[in-house]
Amino acid sequence: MPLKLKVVNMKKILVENNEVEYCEIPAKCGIEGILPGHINFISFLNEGKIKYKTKDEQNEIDVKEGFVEFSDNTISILLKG
Amino acid sequence: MPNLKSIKRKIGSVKNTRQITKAMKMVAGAKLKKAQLVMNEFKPYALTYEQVIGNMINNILLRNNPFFQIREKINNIGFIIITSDRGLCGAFNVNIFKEATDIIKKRNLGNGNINLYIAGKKGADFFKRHGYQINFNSNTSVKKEESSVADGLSKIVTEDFINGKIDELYIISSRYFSPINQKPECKKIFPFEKTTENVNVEDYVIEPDSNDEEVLSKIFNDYIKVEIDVRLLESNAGEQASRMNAMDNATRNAGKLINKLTLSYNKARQTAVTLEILDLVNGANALK
Repeated sequence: MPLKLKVVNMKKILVENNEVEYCEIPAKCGIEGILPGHINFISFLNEGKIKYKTKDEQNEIDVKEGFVEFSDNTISILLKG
Repeated sequence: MPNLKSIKRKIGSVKNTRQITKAMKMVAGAKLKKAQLVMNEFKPYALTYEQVIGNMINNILLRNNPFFQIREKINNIGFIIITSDRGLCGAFNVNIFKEATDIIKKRNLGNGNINLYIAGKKGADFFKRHGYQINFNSNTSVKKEESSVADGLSKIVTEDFINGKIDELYIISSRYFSPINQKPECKKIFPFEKTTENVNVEDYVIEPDSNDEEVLSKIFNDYIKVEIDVRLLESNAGEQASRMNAMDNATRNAGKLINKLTLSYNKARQTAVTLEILDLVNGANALK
């Protein structure tokens, strides 16, 4: 089962993708790789890059500040600014 | 016979009014566009935040967080009420007042046990006049500099809830569905309540784990701010839309009134002319 990824900032939806296979997040305690079935977690973000991979492409988004919530194979990332 | 001069003066004054309402409609239209844009930009963020908080509330087992505390006896209730700063926007504010007073009356509490937090001048005036206790009054509901209204409001309501000054908190504001459809709505904010039974009891891992309480508090505090912010934006857009409609109606009514007055003016003029001719003819006949 693929991951659902949603990244929004205060201006718009940056990413909304339901076919993500792998996602890497610059969490407060170090870079965190998420695969389907990961344990639920909440964390603030450090400055860095969110990387995510779908079947046929790989993308990156720069982040400064925000937090991430993961549950039910859904990653919600809320960015400031 | 109606006085020609007085009718003419009336027509002039109604014409002036029509011009003003027309101009106000234009201004409201331009402002609505801007307000809509800002609102639509912010809405996805607020919606996602709401979903995230919903997930957290349904999943989380951290019941000792103060935001989840359900008080046994509800003595004091807080209401955040968002209204507009200016009038002349149709039934916009009246609808909110009606909704708010209905809800407050249903709770059967004394005025002293109702704590109001108000954004918007009109609301502050109304509730002051009706003798309610106002804990916070922002005097403006428009988001000018970096969301100072929501900042102040969210801080004071969370403090009051945690200190036990209020046992429940609701927010009443006008929700924006379309330029011709806005409805006042009441939403419970504190304490957080589960919306479904725990299907997924798996708990969260909170990072950094050394101060998970702090992480949660920050997320929840921000949530209150975002909720207030999005409602302020919606209320502003709704106000402008409502004003635009009201002014449109006023312009149309003024037009109708002008038509009516013009008709009676012409009638009166015709009567005067006929009378004059009659006079002339009578005079000529008398000379024969």
